[in-house]
Amino acid sequence: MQKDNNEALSAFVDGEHSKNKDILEDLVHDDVMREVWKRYHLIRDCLRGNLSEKIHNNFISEVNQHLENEPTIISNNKTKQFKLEPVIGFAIAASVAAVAILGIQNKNNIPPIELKDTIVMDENIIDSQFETFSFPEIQISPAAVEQSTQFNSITQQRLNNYLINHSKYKNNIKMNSVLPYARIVTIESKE
Amino acid sequence: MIVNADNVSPDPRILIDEMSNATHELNYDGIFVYRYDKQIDTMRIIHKKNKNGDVYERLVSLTGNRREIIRENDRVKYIFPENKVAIIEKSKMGQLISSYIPDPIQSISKFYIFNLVGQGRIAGLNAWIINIKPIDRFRYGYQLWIDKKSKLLLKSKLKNFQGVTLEQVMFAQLNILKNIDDALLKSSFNEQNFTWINNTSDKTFTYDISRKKWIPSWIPKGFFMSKYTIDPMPNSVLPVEHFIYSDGLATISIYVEKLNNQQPINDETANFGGVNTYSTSTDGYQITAVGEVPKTTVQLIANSVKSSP
Repeated sequence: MQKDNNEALSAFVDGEHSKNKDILEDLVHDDVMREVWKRYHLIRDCLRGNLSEKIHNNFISEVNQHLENEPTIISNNKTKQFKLEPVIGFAIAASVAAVAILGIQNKNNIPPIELKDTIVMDENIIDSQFETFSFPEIQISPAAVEQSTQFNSITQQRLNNYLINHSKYKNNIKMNSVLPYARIVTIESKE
Repeated sequence: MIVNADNVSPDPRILIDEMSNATHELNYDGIFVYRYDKQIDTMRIIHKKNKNGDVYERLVSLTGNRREIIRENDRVKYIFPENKVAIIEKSKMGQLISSYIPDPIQSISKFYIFNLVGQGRIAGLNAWIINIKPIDRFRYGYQLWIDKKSKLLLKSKLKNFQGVTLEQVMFAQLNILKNIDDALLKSSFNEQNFTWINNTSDKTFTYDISRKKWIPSWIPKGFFMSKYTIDPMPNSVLPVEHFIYSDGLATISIYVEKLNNQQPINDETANFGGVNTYSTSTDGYQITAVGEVPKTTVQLIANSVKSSP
C-alpha cells in the first residue's frame, strides 16, 4: 500500500496524474506523504545538479548513466494559458453593468485590434546575472516549456474574471504598487 | 578615510521599507516595461502626493490597445477609449494594507530570506540588488533593484524556485520631481461621449467567523486571511465569496461561487505571467484559487477547501 502511494507520488512529482485528487488529498492531510514529497524533490534536484556548491555531486554522472538506460517518461502536464479577448467590462463588479457594456460592444461591432506594437519574445526570460538564488543556472529546454491549450470562451472568461478581480486586491504595496495595475491594463488590451 | 555613503551596504529589509515609503511619498514620472511569458508591454506611470496627503496616479498603456487607469486616493477610474467606456471603482488595494500585522518586515522574514547581492544600474540610476528567496516551494521569490538615492523600485523580477523569471517590471526612464503638473494626471481622452459606470458603493462585509462555512484545510505556513468580501462577478448570477490570504508578500484569493445552471469548471489550471489559477467544483460550488504562487500551491489550496457545518 505504501509502495503504491510512493509510486503514485513519484509520478505526480514528474507531472503525471496531476488530476488525481486522492494524491492531493493525501498530500494535504498526510505528514508522512509530505515528507516523501520533499525527499523526491531533493532527489530530483540532485539529479539535475541543482544543489548548492557545498553539496558533493560526483555521483550524478553515474545516476544519469543508469537513467539513460531506462525508458523515457513523457509528461503530458499542460498549463492552459489564456488567449484573452478584448472584452471590456469584466473589470466591473456589477453584473448589470457588464451586460450594458457587452451590449455596447455588440452594437458598435468593434473589430479586434491587432497588437502590431507588441514585441513577441521567442525565448524564455533567462538572464546571466543573479538569475538563481542558491541554485546554479540551468537552461530550460524547449521540451520543458509547458504547452498552452485554448479554453472555450465561457471558461476562459470566467477564469479571467477571477484573475482581474484578484489583481485588484493585490496586497503587495511594499513590493510593487504598479504591477497589479499593469496586469489589469495588459489583460484588458489582449486579444 | 572617507566612506562613500552610497557604497555602505544597507540592511535589505530596511531598504524594502524605505522603498515602500518612497513609492507612496515621492512624485515621479516614468516609463516602464512589463515583461511576462514571451511578451513585453510598455506603460507610463505618473505619481503625485500633494501637501494635503492626497495621492494621485495615472497609468497609461503605450503599446497595444489604448488604456488608462487613473487613481485619486481611493477612487480608481478605468478608461477604455476604443469602446468609449469609463468605469469608476473604489480602490481595493488601499483597503488591503493589513493592520493586523504589527511589523510586516519581521513577519515576512520568517518565510523569506533577504540578501543584498550586489549593485546595478537601471534607467541611468545606481541601484542596490536584493534577493528575496522563499523558504519553501509553495511560494515564489523576488529580485529587486532599488535606487540608491530615492529608494524607488527600478526593477523587479518574480522568480520560481528554479530561478526562472516569470514576470518583470523595469523602468527605462524615471524622473523624480519636486512638483507634478495636475494636467499630467488627467485623462488624455475626451470623455464627454463616454458611457460611465459608477461602482463606488460603500458596502462592506464583515466576516463572521462563528458562521464560517468554507475553509481551506491546507495553506502554506505564514498565510493568514486578511480580508473577506462578497464580490458580484460578471458572468456570475450570484455574488461570489472571496477570501484573501497573504504572507506579507504574496497574496492568494479563494473564490467560492454557487453554481446556478452554469457548467462547472473542473480541475483546470491557467496562468498569466506569475499568477496561477486553479479551479475545481464541489457540492454545487465552484472553488477557485488565484495567486502569485506556484501552480501546485493553488491546486493544493483549492482542493483542500471544504464546507464546515
